[in-house]
Amino acid sequence: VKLRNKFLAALWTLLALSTLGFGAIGVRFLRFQMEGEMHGKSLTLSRAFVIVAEDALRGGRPKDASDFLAALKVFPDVEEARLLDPRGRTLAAHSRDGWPMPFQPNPKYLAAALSSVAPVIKTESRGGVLSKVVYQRVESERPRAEILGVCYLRLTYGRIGDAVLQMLRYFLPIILAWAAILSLLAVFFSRRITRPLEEVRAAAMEVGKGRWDLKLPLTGGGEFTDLAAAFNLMVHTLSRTTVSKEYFTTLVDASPLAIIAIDLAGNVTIWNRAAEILFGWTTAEILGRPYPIIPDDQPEAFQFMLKATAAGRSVTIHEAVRRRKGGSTVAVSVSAACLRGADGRVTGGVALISDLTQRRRLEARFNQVEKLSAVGRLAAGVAHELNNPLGVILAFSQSLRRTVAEKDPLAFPLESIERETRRCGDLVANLLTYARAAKPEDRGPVDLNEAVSEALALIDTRARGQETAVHREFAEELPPLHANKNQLQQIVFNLCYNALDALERNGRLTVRTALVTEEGREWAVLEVSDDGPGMTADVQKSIFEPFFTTKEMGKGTGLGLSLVHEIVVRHGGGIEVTSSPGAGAAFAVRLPRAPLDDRA
Amino acid sequence: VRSEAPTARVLVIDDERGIRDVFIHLLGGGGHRVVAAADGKAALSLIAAESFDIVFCDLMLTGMSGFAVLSTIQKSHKHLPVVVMTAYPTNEVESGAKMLGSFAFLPKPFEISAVERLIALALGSKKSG
Repeated sequence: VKLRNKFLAALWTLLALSTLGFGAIGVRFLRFQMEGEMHGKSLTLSRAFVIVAEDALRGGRPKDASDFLAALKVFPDVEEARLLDPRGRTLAAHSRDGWPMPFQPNPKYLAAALSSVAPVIKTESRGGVLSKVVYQRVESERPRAEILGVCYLRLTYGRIGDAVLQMLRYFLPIILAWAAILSLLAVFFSRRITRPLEEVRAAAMEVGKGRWDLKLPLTGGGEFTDLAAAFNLMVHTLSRTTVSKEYFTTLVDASPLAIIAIDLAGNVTIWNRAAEILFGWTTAEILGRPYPIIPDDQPEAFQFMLKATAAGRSVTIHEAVRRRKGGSTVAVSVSAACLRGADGRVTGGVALISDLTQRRRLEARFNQVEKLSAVGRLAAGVAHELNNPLGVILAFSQSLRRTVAEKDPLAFPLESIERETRRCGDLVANLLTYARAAKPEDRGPVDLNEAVSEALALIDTRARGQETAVHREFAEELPPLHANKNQLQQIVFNLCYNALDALERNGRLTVRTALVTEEGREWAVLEVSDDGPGMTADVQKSIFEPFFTTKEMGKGTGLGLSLVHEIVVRHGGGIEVTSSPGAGAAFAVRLPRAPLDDRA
Repeated sequence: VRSEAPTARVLVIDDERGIRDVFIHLLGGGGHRVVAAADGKAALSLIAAESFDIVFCDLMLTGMSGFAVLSTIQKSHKHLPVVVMTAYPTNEVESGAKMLGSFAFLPKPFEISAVERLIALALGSKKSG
């Protein structure tokens, strides 16, 4: 039952009770008033009656009083009037209801009247009708004092209920109007009382839904302001000390690390977004099911973690292998700890798992760079010692080959010596370039189109040799790049030589430059594409690794593309390869138009 | 080897014996007169004593460096073409040689055809100059 209704019910009850109370008092007052009036009236009539009766009785003619009695008819409330002798017998009478009427005076009242000068006035009730009865003795003093008779009067009050009804008829509309006014007031005030309560209730509902930031306005005055302030304080305190399920889920799902919890049976109880991404199973698939990521061949790893966490220790395995959906594995680092219930008993375990793939990749890249710069330093150190003997070998072998005829049995080995010596020279030169690419040397404004054109002039010669056309698609008005021109040309040489090596005859080699805007920066793009045999995805993965080559023994050093990669990276750019077997290959080099900062 | 080709007087300066041998054997066999020096000092005294059409000078020499030899020759014999050779070819070395007025830059290992071309060029420029 609503508070307002209770309030109204109480008010109406109070109103009804007070109405009844006032009604009772009113009736009592009414009766008292009538009583006084009847008393006075009966006394007056009785006095007059006694004077008339004395005259009539003294003259011995009681009937003389009859005229008086008949005259009493004009008083509507006089029910009965009799002149009695001292023994109570009726001498003369008048009755509203007509004559004769049997009459027996009340002996007690009669005796009292005979012995008293004062009239005996009593109230009688006969069938719910109140009457006033008056007995008064009639006496004479002359010639001698004697009691001549008794006057008897009966006056009716009328029906007292009629009076009350009449009174109610007057007062009921007033009472009803008053009740209506009070009810309206009650509704109004109860609204004023319950509205702040309503607001608090609505606010509590909102907080219940998780709106911890809710604040009630401090209005309403008095206790309502205090209530709102107390409510706000409560919500604030709760919000700092209580963690909602929703907040918890948000937090867990926002974690960049995979968070997985299991119960004592080994079934998954928490599986966050990062876990979904890392391992492939969705939360819906895996909740309540056995922990799925332990590789079948190493159950002991899991047992070890289980034992340790159950014993209350937290465990970290820096390098572990875990299984993904579909059977592939992933290198991860796992930290695990046990979960305890409120009573301190172990209820399960929780593991934080981070993906090591990216770190592995960076480590591999770092190792590669390290390896290359070591090789580069070594090459720089020994270049002089290698190039001199290579120069001697090359010169003498060339000279010897000139002296022998083409059919001479020595011609072929001499040619091989010459070719292999050149190859060694190329390798040393590449290693030197590699070592130097690490240093941001000699950078300045370079017109990419000009640099590419110069390089292509050398490529054209070889391209013509295998009847391949070199198409140039240069962007107009390329802004100058901050770069090392020689190294840019090195990129062109290497990419074009690779393309020409891949193309047999009558191929098509396209060199394109462009300016694009990406990631809010301007980039110059140099693209070298061919319509040769293309590459498989496996080959594409490895082409930038040093000493990787698909060329037949003796044709490539395996440094060309890794050198290109090194130069591009040193210039703050990137290189992408698009290719598939049979569909040619395209290498797109992207170089920043301006350096991010000069960290040289 | 073409006997009708003009002969040149060639000075080779290199502390590498193999390189000196290449020049003496190959170019000498081709009719050119080749004189070799193992270091800068010896080379400079040779230049002072006789005249040459072209000098091939290595940069990494014991004692006096190739650059020092180059600039000294530039001072005394302004029109003598000096080809700078090196087994450590870098951009700096190449541009350094160019700045000091070298006739050409010849990174090792080199093709003998390149050497022959340079000699022909030197003789041609001398004729025209």
